[in-house]
Amino acid sequence: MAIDFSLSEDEKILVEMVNDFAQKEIVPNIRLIEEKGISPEIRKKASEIGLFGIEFPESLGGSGLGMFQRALVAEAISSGDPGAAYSLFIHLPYSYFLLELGSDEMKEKYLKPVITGMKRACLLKAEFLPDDVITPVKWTKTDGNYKISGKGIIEVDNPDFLLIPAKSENKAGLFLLNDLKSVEVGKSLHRCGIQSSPAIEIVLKDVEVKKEMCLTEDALSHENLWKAVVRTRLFISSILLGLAKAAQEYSLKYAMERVAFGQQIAKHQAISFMLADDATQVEGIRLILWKALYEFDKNSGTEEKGIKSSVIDWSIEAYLQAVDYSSSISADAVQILGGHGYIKDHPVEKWMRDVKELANAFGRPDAFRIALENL
Amino acid sequence: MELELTPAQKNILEMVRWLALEKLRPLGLECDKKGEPLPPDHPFFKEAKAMGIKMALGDVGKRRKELTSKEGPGEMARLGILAAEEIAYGDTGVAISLPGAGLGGPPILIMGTPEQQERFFGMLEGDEPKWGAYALTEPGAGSDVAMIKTSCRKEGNYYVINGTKIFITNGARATWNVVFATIDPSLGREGHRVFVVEKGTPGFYVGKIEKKMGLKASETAELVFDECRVPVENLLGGEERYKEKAGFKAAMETFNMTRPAVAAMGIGIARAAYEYTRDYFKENYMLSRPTPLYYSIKETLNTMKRLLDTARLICWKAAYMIDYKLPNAKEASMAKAYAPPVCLWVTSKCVDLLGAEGTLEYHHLVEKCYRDIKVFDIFEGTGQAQRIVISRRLFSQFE
Repeated sequence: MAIDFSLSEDEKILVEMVNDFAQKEIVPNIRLIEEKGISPEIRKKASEIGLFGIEFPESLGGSGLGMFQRALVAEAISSGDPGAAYSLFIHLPYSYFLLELGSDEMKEKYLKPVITGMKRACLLKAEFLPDDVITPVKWTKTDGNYKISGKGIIEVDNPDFLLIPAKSENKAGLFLLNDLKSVEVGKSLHRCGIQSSPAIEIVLKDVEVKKEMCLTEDALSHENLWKAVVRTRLFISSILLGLAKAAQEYSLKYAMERVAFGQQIAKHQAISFMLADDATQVEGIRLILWKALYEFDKNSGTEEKGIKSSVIDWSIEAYLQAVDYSSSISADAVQILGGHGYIKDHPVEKWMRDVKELANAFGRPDAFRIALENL
Repeated sequence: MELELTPAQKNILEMVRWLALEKLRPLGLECDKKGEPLPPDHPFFKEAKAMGIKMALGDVGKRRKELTSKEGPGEMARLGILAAEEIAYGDTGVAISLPGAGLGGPPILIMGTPEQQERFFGMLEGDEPKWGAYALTEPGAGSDVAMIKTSCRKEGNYYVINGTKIFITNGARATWNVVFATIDPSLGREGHRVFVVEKGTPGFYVGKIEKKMGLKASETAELVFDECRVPVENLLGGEERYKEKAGFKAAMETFNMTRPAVAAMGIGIARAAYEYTRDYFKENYMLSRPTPLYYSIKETLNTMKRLLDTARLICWKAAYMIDYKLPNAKEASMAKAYAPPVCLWVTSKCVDLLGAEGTLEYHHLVEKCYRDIKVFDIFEGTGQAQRIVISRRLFSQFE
């Protein structure tokens, strides 16, 4: 029977190990991480147990598994704290684009050190919409090399490598910088959620990029672009799933302890129905995400290049479901905790802020609501 | 983890879909217009029986084997749920009227002795279409099963049953009804006894056949038990079984099997409305523009598909757990709590998208789906009852 929701023994062990890591390293430090970011010690430990390269080939220092296993790991960390999960795995979107669009030489030089935790890298904030890439940076070509300019946001303080999506009329190119010497680094902006990752303004003024540092000058017609985009979308969806799970479990636990009108508030039907719906919706996100992951991994397992449109559609459905339900569940959690939900003694207010950043991290959800090709 | 149908399953579903569209849908629309159930002597039932189309819950014989087998996972629950959606996609009213044990099957499978299983399932065999039915609901007890008042008392080799059961699907035409009664309402769940009451048993009468808002092809009957004398051999599982609330547990275990299948049927209905509406917009222009250019329409259609896909996966999970013999009360209720409101929203939006014509017989299928679907949030436990079950399961991890 091929409708099978069970995890393999290896997957169970993986989830248990990562849950354990989250409970020990993340959960006790949620507010510290929010204020100061992920500490080098936690980053090192995560790297040592192999969390950075789950889905990357072994030749690049990864574990050679699929996006499904990545999602299990991301969910487990994120159900400790989604902000921490996002910051810990900030290298992933960068790495997906390098993996799918980079040359072998580039992967060796600029991907392997990132996956093995030796170097830090990130992607300049851009939106990957159903049929377009929106970026504040422009590129031009001069004597075979490129110049890029614009003002953008990066989410790693002083990264070793920076990948920049840039536009030239209808062409979206991807350019790699291996130092920030030619970049003007501005101030760090205040942000609503995910404060464990900074939002640093950078200004690029005719920054020169050598020919060999361009992944592609026309990503939109590159067959592998959407593969990288779908990987990113599945990754962010699994973080949203972890967020929903965290908020649902936290509010359930609180409702079982808090007493009002003579009984545990969980036993008041107004609350118990919210709890039941939230638990059902967490399951809803997880299952449709698993379906999308299954389709993606199956597609990647074939020799064919590019990605099937049905796989893209599944990833969009999973993403929107994750956005909608994690938004409502995190708000429900604050509501269930009442006044306590609104203050920093409990993490639910943080998760309600985090959800907005995560939902909009790589594209605005509403751009996807008309994206399925059913008409 | 693997989430796709095997080629064999795809073939089966292809066949079921064909039957659903060619046979069930026209009959369902016809019954809906007449406002009457499909009579038991309708030639379609004989035809269905000859073709081996069973009630959506699947093959009783194979299920029996799987339930008693100690070997690895079965597959009947998952096959059943796939078929349930597909056949409901044709017409749910006709689908739940198909000959077979129906909802009466699971309690006999769960509680019946081997002899009883042989006897009662044997009665349904042969060329003539025959039905089993499940009589639980009463005027004063529906979702809260513990509240039933229909009484039974032992007299020699008989039990004497008194009371009224309502909203019983196929109850009037059934060869036998699985009837829940209590030896003493004050005992609550412990007092429950489950009987198989055969047609023609003295003191068993069929009351009125209900007129409903939707699902008109299906017969919904009132059953009256007035000093109805049922032989002791028809007490499911024998008296020993009832020491530990077995009667109530049987009702609950039945629900764990049937709720995901019922939810899947709801998805079948909503999918029929969705596909009709989507195809209508593909082929028709509105206000001189192709309708896909109205973003709000495209968004609504996209959202419908997404919610139905999610609901389907939640049902699959609950069925998968049955096959793997994992406790699934929470997941079965999640399927039943989640799918029907989603399906109601979908069918309701489909009527709206078709505009003023949506309510008229031009789009009979869609407005019928809208009427048919509402009861899915009611029978087999209302959406509220499901939320009570889910929340209690959530609490139990702290207690």
